[in-house]
Amino acid sequence: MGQIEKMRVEKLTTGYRSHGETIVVTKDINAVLNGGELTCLLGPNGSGKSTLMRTMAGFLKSIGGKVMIEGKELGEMENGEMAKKVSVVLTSRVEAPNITVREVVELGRSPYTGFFGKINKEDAEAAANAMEMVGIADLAGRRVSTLSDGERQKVMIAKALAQETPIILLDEPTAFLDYPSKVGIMMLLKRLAHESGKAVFLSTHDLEIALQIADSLWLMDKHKVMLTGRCAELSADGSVGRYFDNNDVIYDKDSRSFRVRNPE
Amino acid sequence: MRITLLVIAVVVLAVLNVFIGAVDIPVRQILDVLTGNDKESVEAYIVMQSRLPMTITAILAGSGLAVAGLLLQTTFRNPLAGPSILGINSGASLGVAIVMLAMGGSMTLGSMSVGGYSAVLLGAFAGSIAVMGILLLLSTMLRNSLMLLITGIMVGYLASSVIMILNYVSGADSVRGYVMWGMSSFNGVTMSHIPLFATSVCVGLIAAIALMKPLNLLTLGDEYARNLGLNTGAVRNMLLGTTGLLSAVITAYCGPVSFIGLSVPHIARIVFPTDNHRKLLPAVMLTGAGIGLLCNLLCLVPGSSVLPLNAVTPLIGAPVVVWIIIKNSLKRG
Repeated sequence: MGQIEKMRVEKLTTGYRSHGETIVVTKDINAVLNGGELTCLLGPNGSGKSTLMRTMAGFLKSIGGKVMIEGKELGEMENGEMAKKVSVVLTSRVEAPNITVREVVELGRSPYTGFFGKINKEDAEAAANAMEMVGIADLAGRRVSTLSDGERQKVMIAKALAQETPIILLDEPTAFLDYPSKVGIMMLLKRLAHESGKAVFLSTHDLEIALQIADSLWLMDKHKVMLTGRCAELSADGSVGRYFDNNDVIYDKDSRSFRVRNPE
Repeated sequence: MRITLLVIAVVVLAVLNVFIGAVDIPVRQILDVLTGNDKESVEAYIVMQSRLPMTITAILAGSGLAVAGLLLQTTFRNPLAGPSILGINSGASLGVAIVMLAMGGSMTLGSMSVGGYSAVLLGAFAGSIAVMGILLLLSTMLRNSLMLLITGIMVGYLASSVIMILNYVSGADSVRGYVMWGMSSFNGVTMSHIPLFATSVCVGLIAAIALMKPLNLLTLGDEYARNLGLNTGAVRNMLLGTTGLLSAVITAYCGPVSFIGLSVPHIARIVFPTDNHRKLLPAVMLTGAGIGLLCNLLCLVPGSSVLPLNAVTPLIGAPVVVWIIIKNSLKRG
């Protein structure tokens, strides 16, 4: 697998501006997303995962530093250009009661469709391929409101694929799913990254699944410098252990899982 | 197929609106008038100067209000949004009340000069845009749709309160003109005003058609829409402008018509269960025209006198609203 850089953050400082005040969430992050890899962003609640993700997606302005997308700075891109570079899967649910799976996936073609959003043959094929890759072709005619959480997540992933972007960002795509579905979604994303050469980046609280499946990791903690690298290496050299171990849990690098230190 | 049936229904209702009225006119004579063989009689005057403009107004106003309702429901992602319930009509009413009462209010809209009409239209437009602006601002803070709805109703009450105070301090004549306007009717647009009315409403309808793609993207939510290339801020302003234009023009001419904007998108969805605005928008336009014509007919039914429009529209609208609330709460368990 070639290490083709798709996205890079340089000295990125994220945060909010509210009431004229600037609230910094994370400071001076440096990291790279490579194509053909599944990269997982791990960190406890409040560590700024979501803020970082939203900044990389262009929803939030950065406080400092740069986000580079295929060599071009995010701040210099129009919405339309950005839509062809980065697609997102968010935690918010699509609430329209009658919208069908095919319609949602075809909306992923919006950056390429004309003024009225008419779907041509090429768009229909791209949407059909996306549904095929994710394994929801048989759901195409169903209403999204009738699907399970796992199926909904796959619909949004298919939408992101139909968008044909080199980068896909997913904000906690495995939240609210049962264990087998979590693993299923993560394996699906890994396969997609490997097959398509896209950079797939997701945030999650499911440490163990991520540590077993991810190609690369971004580890975040409010009080520590962000740690990035190949998952296997970070695990083997004890970095993961050093990052997460505390009085209660200990990381076992052989089984890539956590243990409770004192089960009494 | 279903859309063809809808077109036929609208045509039939339009024909009925021309042929049935408070005054009995034989079908034969109406045909004579429509074919231009009878231009002089009283009946000719009634058909050409009253029924025809009223039918055109019912089609355009019904359609325009329904589209305004659909745009608001998509923008707020709230099935209970609509120009009347969110207080946008009250805002327009307040604007109109200020203008009408300031001008003495002795004239009715139909006989008003274009200059006087422009002032009323401007008042309605300013009033509805002001309320829309307040609601859009609040919608960024109030994610809960019920809260937003209640806020809208309160804004409506505030406007009504100011209107009442204005009425209280004004002369009886002014008040009567305003009260008549407030009961709503499709007969306020004379044939000479039809071109201006039709043009303004059509501009709004065309703007809505032009916004079909953004509307579809907004059904996914603001952030998804943005990620798919939509300039959400600009689109919200365009939606606000379009809805404001439609509600303002129609309210200025027909009065604050209740429930059509809120209920028609839901009635259309029963026949066309879709969230795709490329299908939904034409369906809502036609259903709105049909419901407008139907309400206008229902105003006529009991004997010789003509009911005000707002006596009839809640009979169709209110049950639909209750039905939506029941359906939504059943779904959430």
